[in-house]
Amino acid sequence: MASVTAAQTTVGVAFEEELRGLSDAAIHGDWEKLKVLRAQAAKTLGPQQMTDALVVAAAFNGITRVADATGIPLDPHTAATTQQMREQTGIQRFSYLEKSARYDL
Amino acid sequence: MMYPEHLLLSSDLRQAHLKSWQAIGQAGDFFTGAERVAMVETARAAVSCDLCQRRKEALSPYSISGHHDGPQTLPEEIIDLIHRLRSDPGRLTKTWFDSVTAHHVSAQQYVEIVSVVTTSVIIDTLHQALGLELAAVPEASPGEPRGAFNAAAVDIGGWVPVLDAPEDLADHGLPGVPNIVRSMGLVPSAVDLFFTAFRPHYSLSDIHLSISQAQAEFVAARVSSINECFY
Repeated sequence: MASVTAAQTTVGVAFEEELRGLSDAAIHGDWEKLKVLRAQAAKTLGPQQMTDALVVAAAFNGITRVADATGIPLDPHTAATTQQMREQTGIQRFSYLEKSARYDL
Repeated sequence: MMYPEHLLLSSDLRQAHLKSWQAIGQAGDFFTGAERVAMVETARAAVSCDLCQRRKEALSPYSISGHHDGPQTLPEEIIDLIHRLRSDPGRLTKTWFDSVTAHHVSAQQYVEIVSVVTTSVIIDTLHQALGLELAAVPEASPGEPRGAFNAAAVDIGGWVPVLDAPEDLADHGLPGVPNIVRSMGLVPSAVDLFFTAFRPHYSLSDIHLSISQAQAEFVAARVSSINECFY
């Protein structure tokens, strides 16, 4: 799980390196790099999988903003079952309370 | 047509994006079509805004004041809201939200702004990720805001009241109605706008894409990490 927050570790998903590269470039708006990565991924994943990876990335670029902007709490089951995982992966530092502590003046 | 035919996008996605894009140009519940189109233009300007860039580089985005680049057709407080949402969403805080909605923007207006901007982010991100130019902004239709909102929205500890829904788990072990689906429930048309665009992109199970559910979850988690999204 730590691989989603860390740049170097891996989790074992098929074509993980390609997916990570496509996602990172799309969200960071690195369009020139993404152009190269698309061409490469079209050969390794295939054009449909490459496109669908970007389809998911685009969606989450939107929905993460909905969550960030509404302070929506974790679903109760998720909150109860992911405490340790969130701490181990560093996701806990994204909590609203921790953000307020870090960024509010 | 928003996307060239040669792109390997489903007809569901193409139709959904077109529907959402056109809906942005129509009057919503709290803003006119022209105002909603202005939100999209403002969000696009945030990507290259100098003030936003300086804020991103600062330890706190609330320590830097100034004037945003781009269109100035909306009230200044709404422009600032949109720029922060577009350029630095991971550092929005409750204190900031409270300051915005205390004096300048109602909770209902806020939700509609979030819906319009985030819907445009999905569509704009996909365009650019596929190497396309951004779509022309929607054509603004005449008409007045309807003023409808969900008076039965409930407080579950978020920043805005949400859709009241059972918290039971579905067969796949995840919530039947996840909190994120409820999050803009104060303004049902905002939920409809956003999830019309979003739905063809992803599902919690049996994803209808050529990549596996695990691959989709990896991409989703990676994007969420970059955007510092707790949920």
